[in-house]
Amino acid sequence: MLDALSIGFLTASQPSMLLAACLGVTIGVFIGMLPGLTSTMGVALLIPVTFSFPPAVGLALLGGIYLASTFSGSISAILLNIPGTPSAVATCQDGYPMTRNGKAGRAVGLSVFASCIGGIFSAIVLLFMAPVLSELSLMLGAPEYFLLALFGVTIIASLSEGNMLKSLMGGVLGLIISLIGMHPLTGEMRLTLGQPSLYDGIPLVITLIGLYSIPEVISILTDDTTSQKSETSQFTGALTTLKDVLAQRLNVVRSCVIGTLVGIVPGAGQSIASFIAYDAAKRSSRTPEQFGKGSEEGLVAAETANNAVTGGSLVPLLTLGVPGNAVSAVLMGGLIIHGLTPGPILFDNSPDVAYGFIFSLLFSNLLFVPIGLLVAKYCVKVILLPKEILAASILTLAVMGSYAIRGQVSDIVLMLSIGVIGYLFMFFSVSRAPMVLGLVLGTMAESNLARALTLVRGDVGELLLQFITRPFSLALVLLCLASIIMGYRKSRLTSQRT
Amino acid sequence: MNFTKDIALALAFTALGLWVSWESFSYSYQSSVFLRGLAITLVVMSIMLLITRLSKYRHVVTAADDSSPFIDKKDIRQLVKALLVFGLVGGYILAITLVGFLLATFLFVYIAMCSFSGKHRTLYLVYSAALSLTIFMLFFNALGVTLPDSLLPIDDFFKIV
Repeated sequence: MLDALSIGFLTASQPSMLLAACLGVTIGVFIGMLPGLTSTMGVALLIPVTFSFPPAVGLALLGGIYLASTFSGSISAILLNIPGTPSAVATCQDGYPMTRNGKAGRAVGLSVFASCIGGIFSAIVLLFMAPVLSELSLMLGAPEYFLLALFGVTIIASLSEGNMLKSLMGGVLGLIISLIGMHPLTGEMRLTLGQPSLYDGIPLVITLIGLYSIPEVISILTDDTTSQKSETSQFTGALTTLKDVLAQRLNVVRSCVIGTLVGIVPGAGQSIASFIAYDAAKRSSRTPEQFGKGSEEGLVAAETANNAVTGGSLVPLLTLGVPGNAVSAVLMGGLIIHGLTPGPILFDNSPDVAYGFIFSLLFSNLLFVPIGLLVAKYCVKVILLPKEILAASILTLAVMGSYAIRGQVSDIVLMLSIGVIGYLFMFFSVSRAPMVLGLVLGTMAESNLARALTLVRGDVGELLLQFITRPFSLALVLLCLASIIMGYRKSRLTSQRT
Repeated sequence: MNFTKDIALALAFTALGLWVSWESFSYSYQSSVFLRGLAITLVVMSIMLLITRLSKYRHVVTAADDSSPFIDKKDIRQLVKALLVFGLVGGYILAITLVGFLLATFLFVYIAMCSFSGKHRTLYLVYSAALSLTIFMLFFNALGVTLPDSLLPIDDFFKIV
């Protein structure tokens, strides 16, 4: 093991590997920042470029893109309230309010350092505990995945701003929208209104762009306050935030663990990890009322967790040959193209590539601190733009971002329709975050419920029995119940205060 | 708290939940079980919101504590801007299919900025040209995104790859 580790370290320290990681991080920062360009798309776009590279160098480039784009989705989330990637949705909750309070530099600084720590933690876990953790993930079946999604839904209760019932209704609407299109098992079309563009469902990124960008533009155009502009343009306080992140030890460690564990669970994803960590931070905070209004704890939790997913999601890929999420599926394609077989055999046959790749992930996590801060320093100037220029630019990026996903003009129409829903949510004072959570969890919940029902031949009673007899299921059921009870207590306390 | 808005919201969600629930009956059991459950949950929650709001609304009125109107001045201002944004993006989508991405983006950015403010029209002209060209080069040439079909072949002149 020690020999393999030293080979990996030496491989990753080679100038070509460091250069590839640096290039990957730089490209990844720009890809993540642009709404509509996801980590998956970024890695997929650059795979052909790595054909002529040695396998380890190619993987270092792709790994750098993956890590940096996961982090940099937060830059546009913090500065413009447009999540660059789905994993940055939870970041919007407190990142953008910090920008509006004149703390854009500080928010980006916290995000960079929190992401870095989350990424390094998960890479270390990947390095030393991959085989053990992958066995743990194999013990989860369809009932557990369904309950995991259900647990995510129960978080809505504590994410709600204002009226809890309205937030829950928004969450249910999100779940319903996520079910539009083909059923994952039966192939039956649902709620498509006969439109072929809806057969594959509504892509999450398009929904996020519409839901956040259009209402934001309307808000910018009607908002007369410009006081924060001069302060945000300074971009001060970013470098000094490392000690503030480290001061939140418990929050950071908890978010790292949540992110890594969720990452290991195939199909769970970064959005769920960041929301679970955000919720956990809110529950344990001494100032939960600050969440959603610019809480540094909330921002650190979300950012630490979404980057902690990166290493975790590679655990099943590198140890079992099973991709944990869409990006690792694309990375798997990259490994195969280079003639490598993902799985346990990879560590035996090509330790230089396997361990070199993991060490390059560690280096990439360190590299995106200076690169991310440098890019963000100039990007923050966008807030100084006159509001008509800012609004027109956001709309153009939103249109381009939604078109770029599938290259279909009908997707822009979809984005605009979701934008109308976003505006109506703003008009009726309904929080958008629960709807996003519903959108993220809907497909996962439905497909696993269908699988679980198939396993028990459609017997609902048998399925309920499984929920309480399987140890992991029981733990998740208890977590769901605890979440609902705590949400109800919080709601009662809030109504008593008002 | 705006009671009338909440009541309108509850009614809209009830109607939506009933429609989804109705639609779900045309699908097989496996395809509809989760969807129908969600639709019924939405209807139940909407009715709960309606009941709580109606009961509180009655108390507010009897206490002569004026509730806010359905649409106030700020809402009207926001609605006008929202309609402008929806109209502009709608026109942009149409223009992309007619004149291509580059010209449509240039026209959209320029017209949008003039509609939102209209103070520095020359600056807007330069900015529109720069933004549309930058986005075109980045997405279509550097990242290889497929060009949208249009009646005028303007985009093809700028497509390098």
